Amino acid sequence: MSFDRQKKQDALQDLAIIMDCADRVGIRKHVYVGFGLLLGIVRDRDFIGHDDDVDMCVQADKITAAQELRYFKELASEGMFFARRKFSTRRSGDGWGGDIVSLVRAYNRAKGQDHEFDEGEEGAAKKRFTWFSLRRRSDHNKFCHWFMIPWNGYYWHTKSGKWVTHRKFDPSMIAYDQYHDDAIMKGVPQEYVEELIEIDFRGVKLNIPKNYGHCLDFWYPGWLIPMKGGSSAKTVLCRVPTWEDETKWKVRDGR
Amino acid sequence: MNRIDTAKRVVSIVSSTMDMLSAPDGSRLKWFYTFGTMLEYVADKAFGLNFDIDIGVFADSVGWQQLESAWRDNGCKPKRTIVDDRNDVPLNLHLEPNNHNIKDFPTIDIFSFVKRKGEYLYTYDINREGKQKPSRYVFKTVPSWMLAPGPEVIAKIRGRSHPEASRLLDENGIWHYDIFEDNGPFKVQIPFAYGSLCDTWYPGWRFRKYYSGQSVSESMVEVKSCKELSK
Repeated sequence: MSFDRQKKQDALQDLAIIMDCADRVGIRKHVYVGFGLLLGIVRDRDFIGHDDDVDMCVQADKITAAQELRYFKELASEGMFFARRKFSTRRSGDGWGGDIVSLVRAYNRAKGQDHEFDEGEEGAAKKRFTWFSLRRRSDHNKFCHWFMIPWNGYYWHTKSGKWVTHRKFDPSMIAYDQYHDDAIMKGVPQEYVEELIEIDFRGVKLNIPKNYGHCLDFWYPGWLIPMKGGSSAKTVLCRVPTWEDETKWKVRDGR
Repeated sequence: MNRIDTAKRVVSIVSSTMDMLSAPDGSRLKWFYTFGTMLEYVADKAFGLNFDIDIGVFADSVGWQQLESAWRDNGCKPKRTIVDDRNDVPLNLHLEPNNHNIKDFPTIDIFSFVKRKGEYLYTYDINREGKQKPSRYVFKTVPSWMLAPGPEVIAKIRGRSHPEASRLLDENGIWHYDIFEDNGPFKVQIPFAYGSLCDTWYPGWRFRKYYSGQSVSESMVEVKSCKELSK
């Protein structure tokens, strides 16, 4: 569903709510707009008409697990519910992950949307989000949240295992065995998204990377000319056989 | 003639003048709009409203005598030049209209971008000596990937599924876009990483106003002679 006038109005309202939630838990300065909406803001000062979601990014290293949980609670209290979510054990923490899982499950049960998680609850106890998608019951906008993880000079984002299949990647970029279920992360140079600035987008205060031109060149080469479809460029990739063992992570920088 | 009509005439003259030139090896001249002219287009899809016309050329692709002569034929004469003291080739050519039949024809600055170790150097009259061969050369620098990425990067983008990609991006990493109307006769060409270049030269460029002469560059090289660049 693309952004018509009503959908844009709803999305602006939702963006303001999301940023207020981030504000209330002290992480506002670490939540920013990335990918497609960043492109829309910089190029058109508007949503991209044919886009169907909004991408928010969180500097995962700069917030605590407790803030992550409180952020979720605040979002839930505003009528936002989790459409989908993924965890990783990359950032094993202080046990809040288990609470998030329980909370999500309880919340979804209450809404009659109970379904199995990707991992068992016991295993999830150590986990933190890598990605989740939010919706509000009153409208149909989808807000992806990418928890950006810094490592080895890049900020990485992923939906963990089963995010993408080998068919989506150029085999020369990254070897991908169809029988494996390794997670793939996409990277962006750390200096592009380390520093954020606040801007006013149609009356809503949002953060964007200070180097937004770098980001757009990197994610969408030739971004001035609208081209329908396609995700951000898969220029820097990392294959993650196990989250716990960073020595096994394999980076391919296609620049 | 209103400003848009003037801008259309200027775009046409720049395109025809630059495109008729060839490099010493016979290949097509590699040129692009840069600095304020690039910024105007990227930020506002505008041309020549707030800035004089800035053109960049890759140093190895220029036949300078041809270039100067072509611009003389199109009503512009060199006002100031800085030349490379190794070979007398201009590093910067500042052209002014000379009895031009277009009112308000802008001045034109042509910058030579000289490749050196992962970066490009460029200069203009920043030493304020007003000499063709100053007693010191001050160059500013820009990472080479922003102007000219590797051939694999270009090939990958040109080869992607979108049918427009190979038309818009040429083999030298220069983007060719329409201005004033889609699929019309008016074209601009801008360097590969134009967003990164705007960040570098005009921080916050999309959300504030810049004026002529306000480009920023903290990275500089200073030499007494261009011979030092070859070392």
